[in-house]
Amino acid sequence: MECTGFDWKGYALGELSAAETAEHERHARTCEHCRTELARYQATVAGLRSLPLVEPPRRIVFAPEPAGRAVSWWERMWQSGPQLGFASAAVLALAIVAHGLLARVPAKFAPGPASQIEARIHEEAQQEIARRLPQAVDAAVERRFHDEIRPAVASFKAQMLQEEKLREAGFEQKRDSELKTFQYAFTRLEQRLNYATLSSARPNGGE
Amino acid sequence: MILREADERDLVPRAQNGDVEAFNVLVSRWEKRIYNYLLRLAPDADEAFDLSQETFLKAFQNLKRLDAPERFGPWLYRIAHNEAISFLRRRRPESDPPEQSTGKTGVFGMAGIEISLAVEKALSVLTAEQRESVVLKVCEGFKFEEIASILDTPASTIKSRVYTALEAMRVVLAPVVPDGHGAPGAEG
Repeated sequence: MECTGFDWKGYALGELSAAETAEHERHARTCEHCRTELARYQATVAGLRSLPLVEPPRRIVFAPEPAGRAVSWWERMWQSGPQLGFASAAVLALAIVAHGLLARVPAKFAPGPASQIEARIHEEAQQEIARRLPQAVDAAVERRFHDEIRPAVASFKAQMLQEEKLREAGFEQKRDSELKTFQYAFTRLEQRLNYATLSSARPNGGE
Repeated sequence: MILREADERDLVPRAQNGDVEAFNVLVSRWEKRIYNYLLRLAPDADEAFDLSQETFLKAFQNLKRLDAPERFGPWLYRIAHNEAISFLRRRRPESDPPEQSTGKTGVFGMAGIEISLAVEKALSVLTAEQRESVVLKVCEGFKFEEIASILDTPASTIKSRVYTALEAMRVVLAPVVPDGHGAPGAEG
């Protein structure tokens, strides 16, 4: 037989008012079924309350701060979970922002598989070489022409002029020499002629 | 209980003003109960002790936030509960019921040991929420409203959990509890 309107769990837990408790007790004295049900709840509660308490492995003791020692701001923060957590989060946020500003990675170099990055770098390098190579060759040729060929040509020209001068100077000298030789020969011939003329004019007929 | 609350109304304000010795007295009064409560939630005794230390450390750091010194006990259990839940979430998101310790000796000789083992077994069939609620209600003696504040759950839900847990435990304990055990007026 089930009796309704009775809270035997509440009775076993001591949650009922004095009037309710008295009413439940009156009923339990006359109803064996409810008495048995109550006994089981009471046994359950008694069993829970009888569970032995286990001693902690050691005592928990907090050491007092040394007298007169001022606690610095960082110690207070270190001991405060929320403040330390906030400070850590702030430092982390600053680091992320700084990294984002100072080490911004171009979209074309966005992280990806290593092989793709390597291929992309190779392609970029080839394009850059193709773009810069003609300019670099022209600049190198121009620089070489200015630095080496033009001075060499100028030097060659100067050398040719010098040799031309030398050649002309030699020709003049040779001509003068030949002219002097001719003049000397002419002078000698003239002297001989004069001598011969003089000799023939003598009465004895010469020498 | 009344004497302890009277003492705590004196000790808590002293501890709030930085009196570490006063806080150590509070620790010595509550550490055994907190440790045993955490034994029901943590996977093993080492974790339970670590959580106990964390609980009292958090309590010391946040003691100034406690407005009512007479509510120190429920406030402390709330910290312990939060520490245990945080630990279990970090450790295993899908929390399994912790292994119940065995080999505890009762206070009633061999019969006490048998009852203790049977009660431990009955506790192990409960859900974690039911187990915590019934431990706080029956073993720790808190009122439903106090448990509601500790677990941040409506008192009606706590009452439902405790009643469901008692029903389940009664079934498990039936073979070892003789009919007619106790009598009206023996409990409560």
